[in-house]
Amino acid sequence: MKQFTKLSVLALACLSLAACEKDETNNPDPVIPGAPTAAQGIYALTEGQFYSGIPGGLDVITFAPAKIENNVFSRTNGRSIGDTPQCGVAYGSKIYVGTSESNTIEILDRFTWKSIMQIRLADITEGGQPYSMVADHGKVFVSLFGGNLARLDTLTLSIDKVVAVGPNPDHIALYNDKIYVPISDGMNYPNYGRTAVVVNPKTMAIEKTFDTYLNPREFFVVGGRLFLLCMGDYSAANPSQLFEVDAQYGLRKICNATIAAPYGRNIAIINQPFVQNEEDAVLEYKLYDLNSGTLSDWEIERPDYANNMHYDAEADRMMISSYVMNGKYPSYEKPGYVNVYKSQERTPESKFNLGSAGRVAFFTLTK
Amino acid sequence: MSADTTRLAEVSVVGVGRKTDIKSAVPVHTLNRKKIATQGISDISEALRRLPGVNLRDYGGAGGMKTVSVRGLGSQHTGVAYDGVPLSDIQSGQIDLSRYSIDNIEALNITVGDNDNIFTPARTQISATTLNIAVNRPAAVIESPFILYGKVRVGSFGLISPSFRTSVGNGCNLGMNLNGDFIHADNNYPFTIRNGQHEEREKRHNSGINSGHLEWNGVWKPTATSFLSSKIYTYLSDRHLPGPVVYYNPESNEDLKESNIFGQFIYRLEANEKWSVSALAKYSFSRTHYTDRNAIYPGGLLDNLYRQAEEYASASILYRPIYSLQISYSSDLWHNSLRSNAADDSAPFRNSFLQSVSLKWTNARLTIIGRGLFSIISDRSRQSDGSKNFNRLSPSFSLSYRILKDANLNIRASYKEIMRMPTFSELYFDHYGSISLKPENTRQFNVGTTFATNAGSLLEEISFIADVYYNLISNKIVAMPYNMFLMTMTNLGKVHAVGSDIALSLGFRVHPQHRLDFNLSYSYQRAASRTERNMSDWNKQLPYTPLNSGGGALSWLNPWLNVALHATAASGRYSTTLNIPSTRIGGYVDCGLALFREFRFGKTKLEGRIEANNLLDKTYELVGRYPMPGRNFSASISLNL
Repeated sequence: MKQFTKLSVLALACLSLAACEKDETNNPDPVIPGAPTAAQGIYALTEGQFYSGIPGGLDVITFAPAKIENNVFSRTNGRSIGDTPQCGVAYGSKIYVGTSESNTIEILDRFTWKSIMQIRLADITEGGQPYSMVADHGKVFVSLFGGNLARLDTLTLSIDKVVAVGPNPDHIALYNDKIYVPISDGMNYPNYGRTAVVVNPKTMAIEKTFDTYLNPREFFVVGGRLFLLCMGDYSAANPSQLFEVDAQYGLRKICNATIAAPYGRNIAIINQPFVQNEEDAVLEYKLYDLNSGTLSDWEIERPDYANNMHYDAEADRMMISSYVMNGKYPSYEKPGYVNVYKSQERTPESKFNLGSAGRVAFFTLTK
Repeated sequence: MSADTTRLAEVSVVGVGRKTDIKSAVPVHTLNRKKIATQGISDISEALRRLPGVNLRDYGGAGGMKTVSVRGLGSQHTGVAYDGVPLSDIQSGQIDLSRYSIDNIEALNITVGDNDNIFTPARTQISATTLNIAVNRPAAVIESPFILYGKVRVGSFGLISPSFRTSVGNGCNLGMNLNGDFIHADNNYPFTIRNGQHEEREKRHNSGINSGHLEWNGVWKPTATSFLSSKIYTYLSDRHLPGPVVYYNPESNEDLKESNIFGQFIYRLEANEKWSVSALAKYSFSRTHYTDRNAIYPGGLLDNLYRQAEEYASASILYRPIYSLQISYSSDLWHNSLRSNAADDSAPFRNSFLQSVSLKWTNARLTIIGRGLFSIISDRSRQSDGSKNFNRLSPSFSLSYRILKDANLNIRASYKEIMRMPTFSELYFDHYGSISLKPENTRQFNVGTTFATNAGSLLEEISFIADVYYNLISNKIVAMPYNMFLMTMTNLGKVHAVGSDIALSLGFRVHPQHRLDFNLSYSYQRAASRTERNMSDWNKQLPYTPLNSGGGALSWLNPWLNVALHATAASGRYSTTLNIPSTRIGGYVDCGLALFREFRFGKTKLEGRIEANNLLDKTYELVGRYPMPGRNFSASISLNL
């Protein structure tokens, strides 16, 4: 009887684990009010401004009805999500948020926004500080600015593997079942990095290291093609540029760019390089057509001072986050806003005020 | 009083006290050794908060950096002088006052504008306000046949601080002294952090400090009307920096090692009743080594090493054509350089040449002072094309008038214009700095009244100082976002500050052996950004500037056990220029109690003190996310032979 009981418990545990596995890997997307599906809405993570004591937060934007819920984590849990929220993914029934100053990954319920668990990365690795996340096959992959790529198992809600990838890995992307990691070496001014690595997500082994342009910052995939945004060294000689990465890991320059994001069959590009003198200031909005390989002006009603953008293909909405202006300068202290553009329209369909200040990291439900 | 004695008092910058504060044509507030002892002041942070108009930024604990700004002008507008000779930090433009131990300080005084003594180096006039830390009086060094003073102070959070002072003089024309202090503190004090609806009790980590200072002074008076003084000063510190409190992450691995050595000579001669001359030479070298161990840095270590050097010379002449009139001319020249271990070290240096002409007319009731300061400053670095020069004429005026012949009731008014040169960090630090910066300009207006009397049997002593002011800053150097990744320095801001400083001191002789002293200081500061009307920070209170602040002490001096109850307080402040509600730092009241008694055995004096600070154990912050210590205690014993 005792043995039977043990076996029953084991069987139940296996069943429940299998159910969890299915839940996480197949991503059932129950329609529950307040928890947007990919086509319904988007999560906007504001980083705040740590050194001025301004906390960041998690906002949830839905398109139908059009509304924003500000600071859902702190309102639900009665505490801060952590200092400098930097990245997140919504995956399965949970949301995973990485904070770089607090060096945590906060795991919360996607439907109730209640905290399930907080992982303190200092307890796991010396090289922490989450910077970007992607999710796939029941795992969340997190680039850690301290030089690592971590893998979080969504069943056990624990980090099951950490691999050293190089100094200051930045925004990662999944492409052809591999993780592409830009090694920015961004803390090594002026000798920034010029490499990226390709990691096998199953073994977490580095399979390839290849050369890039100076200060690689962000990989992204659009139309089955891989692109890389590199920041250069903020000088006129080595400006921030966008490249396409070919099958042989060669880079083909598209144009100068400081922000870039997929936009249907285009790449939306904003170029606002650092200049020493205000009279030399440049601000360009461009579209790069993936089919024709041509650049054209992106004729939209521009926000005040864009700091990021994100296109939700299912909802066919482009979102551009912006600082509000303080005179002729952007304010890093005041909460900014998000302009939502429907389809290819020039004027924003709606404008949402964010709950906190700072740059925005967008994410939607990962399918 | 002989003419010679009068002249020595003129050259001293230490012997300032209530008389100077009351008679001065510009606001002067002084805490001398006696006041420091009787008002229960246990460290320099506490002392600075008792001075009206002073706004202290304290990063907490015995090792926390401490800087002061006065009347909303910013800490870089506060010059700091040590025994009357300016200190400098060309990199940051502000002096960390935590390195000066209260144990060896004779007096602290803050002067807003130019003080009444016009026979000073031109460089003493380049700041809007000056904090003078007085340690040695040349006359006192000579007059002391032999002094040996030792003190040991122990306290909460691992504090142990011995200090000593020894002085020997022939009582005639030669004297020297040696003084030093050492401080060790763990500083791992508990604090309460509020996180939304939750409160958590935590401890500061990585906060320990070991620092020490050793100083030698020599004075030689070859004739009755001249003297030569010299000083060699050394300072060493090794401290861990806890950094700001971060939610869920107590880890900090920052360290700061600092050293500073300087030597100086001052020569003064009163050639006759009409002519005096003075010369000064100084060399200073400082080294700052900051490290932060964190995997995000190359090799897991951020290693910043900075070396500063300064060579400084000054010559001054004073002419008294008639008894009521003094005319002085001073010419100063100095060179600052900064080197670092950064790959892109731009090795900047600055040559500064100042000339000032001052006139002072005084009689029994009226004092009028006018000054003109002409500055020629030249910067050069590897980044800049050739040198960059700034020339500026900066005037100042002040007057005081004794309203009634038989009562020490005065009114005063002053005006001062001055520029503040950009610091090397503001000019050259990576992308943050901007080599196109221009100097900040300040204009200060002040009117006030002072009153003092020693009359009365019960109310033995009363002094009252009240000033109102209006300050303007233009071309204020501020950090502005330049694109979404970087901020850079620019001359953008304008600031208007209006306010009032009040100091009241009452001394009651309630019994021949019992005295009650009551001291109160209060400041109102409305310092607001007035850059452009369409900017969000228009008319918003400057960060870290409380509208109301002050301090007070009630001391009962008696033959049994002296008692001092004291408090400092400030209203709420913001850490942001836009006064974002979530960045409001709450007001505070910090109360303390000191019990002390002196025992005399012949010429030997023994004093014991017990002090309690932050009696109410309130967690409060002077800088956001840097909590101050809660209730803490210290005890000290000092022996004076």
